[in-house]
Amino acid sequence: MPPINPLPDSSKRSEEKRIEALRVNDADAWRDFYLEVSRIFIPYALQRSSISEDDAYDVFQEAMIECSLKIKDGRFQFQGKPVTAYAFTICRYRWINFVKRQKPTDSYQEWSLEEDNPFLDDETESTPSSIQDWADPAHLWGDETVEADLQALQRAKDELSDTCRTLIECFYVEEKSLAECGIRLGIQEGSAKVKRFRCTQRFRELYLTYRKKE
Amino acid sequence: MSLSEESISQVGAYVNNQMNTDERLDFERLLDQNPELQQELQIQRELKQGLLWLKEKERFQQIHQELRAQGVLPQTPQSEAKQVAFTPRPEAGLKRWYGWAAAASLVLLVGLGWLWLRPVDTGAQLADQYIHATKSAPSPIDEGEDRLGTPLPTTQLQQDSLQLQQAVALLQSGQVETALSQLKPLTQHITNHWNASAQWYLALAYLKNQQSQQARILIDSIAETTGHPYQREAHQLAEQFAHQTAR
Repeated sequence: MPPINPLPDSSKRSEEKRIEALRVNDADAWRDFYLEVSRIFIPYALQRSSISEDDAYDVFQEAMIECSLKIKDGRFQFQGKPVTAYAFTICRYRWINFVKRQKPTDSYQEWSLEEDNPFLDDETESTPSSIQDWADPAHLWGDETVEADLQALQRAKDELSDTCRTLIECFYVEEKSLAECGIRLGIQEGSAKVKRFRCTQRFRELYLTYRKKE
Repeated sequence: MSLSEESISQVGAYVNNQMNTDERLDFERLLDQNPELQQELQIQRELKQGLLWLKEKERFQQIHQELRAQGVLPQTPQSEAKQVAFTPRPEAGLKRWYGWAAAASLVLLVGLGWLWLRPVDTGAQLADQYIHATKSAPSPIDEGEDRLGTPLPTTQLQQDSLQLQQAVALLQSGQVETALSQLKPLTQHITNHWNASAQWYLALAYLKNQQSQQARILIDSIAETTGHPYQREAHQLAEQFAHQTAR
């Protein structure tokens, strides 16, 4: 297990390599990382709250998604501490919010959750990569709102044709150029551009329709 | 909607960071003046972020299923098996089974005798009962005389807590040697709830590792320490151990 204090130089290099492997979506790196963080967070959450194992894993997976997006788009910058500490902090933040939603009036629970934070120290609070900065869901689009939008998105995506789904994922998720997306579909760049416009419009309309109804 | 196809395509390129510097600056000037374009940008950003989220969710669900199938994910302890009510068999037709029952009883008796007398890994079995039990949490502010240790800088407390969590997870997953190497440094100075708890888990790790003597010394020490978070469990374990040894 990596130490939780700032790493010595030799460990920093291996940690940087690890983060790079995560950033480029190395499957083994992500599997090991998932397992390692789950072994820290799940027992931690189960001991300190009445959360069920299923809920703990739901919170954990959402935190891992957030962590993954921030590693890949550069919002996470390595500052000498292990990336597992970063992931754990996000897990913990989300877990606290979950517990507070379940038991908003339990003041002792709130006290013990806020106090027992193994990563909270003076240095962490004052730097730009503070816990609040790391784990602020507003860095994506908010916490509760995400659930409703994701459902609308999933419904909209399910109703798209296979071609549209492929094109939209190629463009928006993989960030490929229209030429590359066109090659994948066996069409010219110009046709891919027109198709992408139509598919995006269709996707957009479906999404807005489902989002309005909720 | 009055935005042209070209404008909407530009929004897509902007969201994907596929514009060069000049293109981006020109587009941002247009954005400042066009609320409809700003709205389209917001929607496409939501679409993109949502798609990314769904993709990652799918990936982690797959990883989770693979790891669960391998049995390596941390879990809560299994609940005790349900007690099934014994319903006596009907009397009719029992007599013809008496011969078989007698033979089966003899085999069972011999088997049990062998199990009783053969050397068993008593320590590891006892340790397993406690390793997966719910861990003791620190009390709220406690000014009593028996409170273990003196107030420490918060960082040390937090480090000890996390290191203990890591060690317990290793122990629960069967990595006893690694757990031992993590627990020993934690128990060098008993000054807070976490390194007191580490003593207990070190005792369990010794048991699992068939180091009974070291385990017994620790267990006895914990059982005699008033205010230790696992004093009661240590008493219980010491009694069980004594009972097992006396057989």
